Amino acid sequence: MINIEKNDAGLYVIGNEFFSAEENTRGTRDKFWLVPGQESSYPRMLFKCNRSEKTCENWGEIIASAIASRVNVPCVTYVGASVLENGEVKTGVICESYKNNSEISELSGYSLVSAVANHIYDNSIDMFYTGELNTVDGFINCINQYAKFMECEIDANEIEQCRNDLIKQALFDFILLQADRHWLNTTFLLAKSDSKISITKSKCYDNGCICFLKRKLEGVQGISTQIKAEIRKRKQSDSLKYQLEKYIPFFGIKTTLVKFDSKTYSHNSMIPRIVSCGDPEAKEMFLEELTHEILNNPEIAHFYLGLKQKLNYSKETKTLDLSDIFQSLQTPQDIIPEGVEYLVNQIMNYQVNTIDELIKVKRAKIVQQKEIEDEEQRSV
Amino acid sequence: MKIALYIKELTLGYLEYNNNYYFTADESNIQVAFKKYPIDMMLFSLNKAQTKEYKYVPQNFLQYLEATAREDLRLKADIKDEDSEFVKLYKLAGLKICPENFGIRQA
Repeated sequence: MINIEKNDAGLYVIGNEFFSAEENTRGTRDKFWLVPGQESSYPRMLFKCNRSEKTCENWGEIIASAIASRVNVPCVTYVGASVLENGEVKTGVICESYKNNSEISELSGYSLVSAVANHIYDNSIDMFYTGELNTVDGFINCINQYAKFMECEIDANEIEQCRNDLIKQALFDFILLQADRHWLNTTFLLAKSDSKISITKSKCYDNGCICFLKRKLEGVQGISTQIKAEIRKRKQSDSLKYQLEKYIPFFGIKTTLVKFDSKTYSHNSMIPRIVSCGDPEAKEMFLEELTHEILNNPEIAHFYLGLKQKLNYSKETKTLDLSDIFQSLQTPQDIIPEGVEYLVNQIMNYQVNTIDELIKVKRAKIVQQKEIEDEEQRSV
Repeated sequence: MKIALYIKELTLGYLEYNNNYYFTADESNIQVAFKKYPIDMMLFSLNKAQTKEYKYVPQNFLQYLEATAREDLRLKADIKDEDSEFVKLYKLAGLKICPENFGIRQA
């Protein structure tokens, strides 16, 4: 836990170092940049305050970044922090920027979608782009449209790598039940060299809303206790199953271009503002997309198997074992609230089993299909 | 009251309000910015005419307008419910803000 204190001169102090503050206007959470002095060896750091003292979002950030680091998903590292300001203590997390080079430009999903939408408007192009962006390929198509509109060349291999990185992030999000992966929470980094533009996906950030940890602590503990009681009685939790079947979070990039205000047809309303995957069908499609990638894309298959292995998956019990990760995060000063570890464990195991079951069904269908084809060939 | 829109060290123009929004572009700075920061400027779409009129808040200011709803920023910038959209933006521009692709400040 890093303790930060605001002094009488309005500067923030960490140990013997002084930082000035710069506001960060993104998102809904109270947050600001800590800017070090010119001679300081510290980087710029972002302090993100919990929405309320009673939520576990700080632990969401810390746990997600520890798991990401274990399974090789590039992610900003979050550390617990508190700020003492005007006699009030704010709890949250601190992290470095995902952009470590000021020469690199960033293109958030929001800017990307807005640029494409504006280009359509400015050039009076009919709304030909009616594709939903709630698939990775929909979003990748948007990058291609962007490059075309801006008359710049982006290497196809780099776009393919961005696609794979997005799918890995989407899988990671699904397994951790990420509820906040909207278009401002996915960014690409652009650098210009000669006439070409190089594009990479930035590290993951803003992962606090995993595994229901956005809820208040008593809510988290309530669900956790209920699941524990059900499993003790019946070896499975109906309430967890119910919660996860009913729950439709913003997995992956769930953005749409078609929900603009067609009545006013104004410049403003052309900018898509609704982030949604709010129906069970979209959720099903998302799972379908992920399992399709695992079965057909070697890089993603390798990533998924590696993820399970690195999280100590046991074939016998069909469970992940995250205890070593939780142990490494806990110190006498930073005690993970009761119920959090249990809930994260249960949710991640449920999600991995959901993926595995669908893969099993799909594989069985492929085998069946193959047998039918072989049979037909034999009879011919 | 004017709100300056800038990228790095270059002011790209000024936003004012009089029933509609008016953005007065600094054409020479915009030309320099396109040469110096081509990637970031790909997202810039206001340089169609020296003065452009908008019914709604222009796109490059939109994210900042959304930020005027955030409680901590409202408190720091003294933004009130009864303030107009433009005044909210102007007050926010008075804070020291880490710029996104484009920054705003009071002019």
